[in-house]
Amino acid sequence: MAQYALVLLVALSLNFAIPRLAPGTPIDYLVPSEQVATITPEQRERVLAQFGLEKPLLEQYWLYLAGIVQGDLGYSTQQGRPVVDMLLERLPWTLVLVGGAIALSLVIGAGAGFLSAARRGGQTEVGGLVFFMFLDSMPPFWIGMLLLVLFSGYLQILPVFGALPLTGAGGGFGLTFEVAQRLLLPLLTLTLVRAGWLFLVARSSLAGELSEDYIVMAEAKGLSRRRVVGHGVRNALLPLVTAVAVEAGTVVGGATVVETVFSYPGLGRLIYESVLSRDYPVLQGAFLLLAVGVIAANLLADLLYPVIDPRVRAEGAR
Amino acid sequence: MSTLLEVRGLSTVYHTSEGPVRAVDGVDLTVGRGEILGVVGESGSGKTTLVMSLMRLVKPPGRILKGSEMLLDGEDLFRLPRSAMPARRGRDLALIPQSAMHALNPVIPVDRQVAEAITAHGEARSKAALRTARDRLREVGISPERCHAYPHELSGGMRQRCVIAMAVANEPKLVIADEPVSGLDVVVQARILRLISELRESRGLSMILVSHDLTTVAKICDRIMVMYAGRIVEAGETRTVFEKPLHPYTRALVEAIPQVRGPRQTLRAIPGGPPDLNHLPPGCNFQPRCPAAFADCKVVDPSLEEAEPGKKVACLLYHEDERKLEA
Ligand SMILES: Nc1ncnc2c1ncn2[C@@H]1O[C@H](COP(=O)(O)OP(=O)(O)O)[C@@H](O)[C@H]1O
Ligand SMILES: [Mg+2]
Repeated sequence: MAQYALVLLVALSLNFAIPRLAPGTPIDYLVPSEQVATITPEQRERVLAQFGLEKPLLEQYWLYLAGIVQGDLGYSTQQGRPVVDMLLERLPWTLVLVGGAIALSLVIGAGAGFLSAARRGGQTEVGGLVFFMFLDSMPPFWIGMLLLVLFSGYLQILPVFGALPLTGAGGGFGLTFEVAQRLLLPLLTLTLVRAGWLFLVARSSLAGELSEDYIVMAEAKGLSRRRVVGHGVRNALLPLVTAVAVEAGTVVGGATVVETVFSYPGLGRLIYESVLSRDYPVLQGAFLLLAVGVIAANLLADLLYPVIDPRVRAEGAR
Repeated sequence: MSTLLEVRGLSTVYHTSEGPVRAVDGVDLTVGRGEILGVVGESGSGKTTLVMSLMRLVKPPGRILKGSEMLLDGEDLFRLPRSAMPARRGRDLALIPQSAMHALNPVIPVDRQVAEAITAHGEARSKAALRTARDRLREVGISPERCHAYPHELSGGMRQRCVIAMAVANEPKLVIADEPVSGLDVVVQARILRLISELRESRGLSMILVSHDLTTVAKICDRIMVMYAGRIVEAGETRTVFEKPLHPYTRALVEAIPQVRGPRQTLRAIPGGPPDLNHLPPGCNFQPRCPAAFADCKVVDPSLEEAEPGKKVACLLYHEDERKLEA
């Protein structure tokens, strides 16, 4: 637990330090670029004061931490709105997308991987392996574009742009439908992207377990093939949980790309927009949120290990 | 004593990149009801392959050759469809596998693993199965409070006991134990062997006990078979094999046993190692290492034949007729 607090503090500190280490003066970042040349010294003072940048570094750091504790991440230079509000607006979209993709890719990827390991050498298994290795090696945006062209361009059954405003017509059910419509393609893309990797992890870890001595014993005591494989699966889950946790950052990265491709109104899209408009406070806030998300994923995995593996439980108790 | 198991001409090959090798080569054996048959041989002589063949658990690249027969109570198990085997394993034939300490699933409590062996063969209620499992564990010396432990919380010897409990849980007709005491320290070895003898007494267990160590086998077996390069080279009553070994390989095994009592002897190990199954020597498989080899041994491959009543050996020293045949 202490490690996680430390990692979080490091993430916070980096988030504080990086913009201050960047070349150029804060003014370059805080003022829309076309105004930088014409700004007066008084205006300059005012901008710096507004962001507390005239204070000593240590005090700035302290104020920064205090701000975060109170849920204050500053204001967008472009929209003038509190960064926290902008993030919270986008967060549910990304949570649904990332959470859904992780869950779906686990069911599809790991499920197929386990099946493939359980019946190794069969015809289906080679096909599956090639398919998922192909998925794993494709860049997310490419798969996204492919689906976009297929479903929206060619088949014309889904909207091209997820950013269409929600109309709210038809009450709760209608709204759910609209959200689902916007969600479908990005979710499918991100799921396919993740499924390839999880397939490979699940397949190799179950194949490894199936050659263990306890599998021979499970067979020797007369269990059916299904239950024998079940013994292996139970043990193959641990590397899978690790894979999901370790790759949480990559999923978020993939989400950024996918959201951009589909104009999906999540955090990734917000990051993309903020990069274009050089909205540094928003960027900083978004990165901080992502860092916290990835740390939380790892924490969750650590909490899950002892549930899955009694040996880890014993170490923890020691 | 009626015959429980009769194996005839069992051969198992592994298909390797250098071609097929016969890890088990035409083995015949019988086990009587209530009897313990010992199989000894150096590591690599094909003992585990024999055991896994009897369980029909040989995995590719291994394959049991057609023509092999295994009659258990008169029924040839090799002729059953593959799908019929799970119902037999654990009930007709039970296995105590090599390195049994690692044969427990690390993430499941041991009593549940034993209970699973019981539910697999008919007991539908898991509560009842769990109760039976705990009884079985108590019988092999696991105290009730350790029953719910995970394998890593138990010592090697205790895990071994759990595997034994699992093997005998369904009162199998035949138990096949592959090196049940190797990897354990001497004191624990003795205890496990005593446990097996006790189970034999209380349950009338029939058993095949496999070991690379002649002394282990000699302690509890009624009869011994000596295996070399996939073949049986000598078979007989434990006492006669021990006191009057015929085959030069068996003699070397007996002489290699350190003597606790009596005059100190230099330990005589058998020079050389087991033959490469891909490049077997001409004639007798043991001939290149044999101190008693003569010219014919490089030409004639001796078959297993009765040398004395109740004693079979595959060696030209005892086969007058085979020698003459070549002359
Ligand atoms: N999976 C396998 N593939 C190829 N050869 C094997 C395989 N398993 C065992 N063998 C060969 O079969 C022979 C007998 O091995 P094994 O049955 O394990 O002997 P033991 O149990 O007496 O040590 C050895 O020469 C070994 O190399
Ligand atoms: Mg072996």
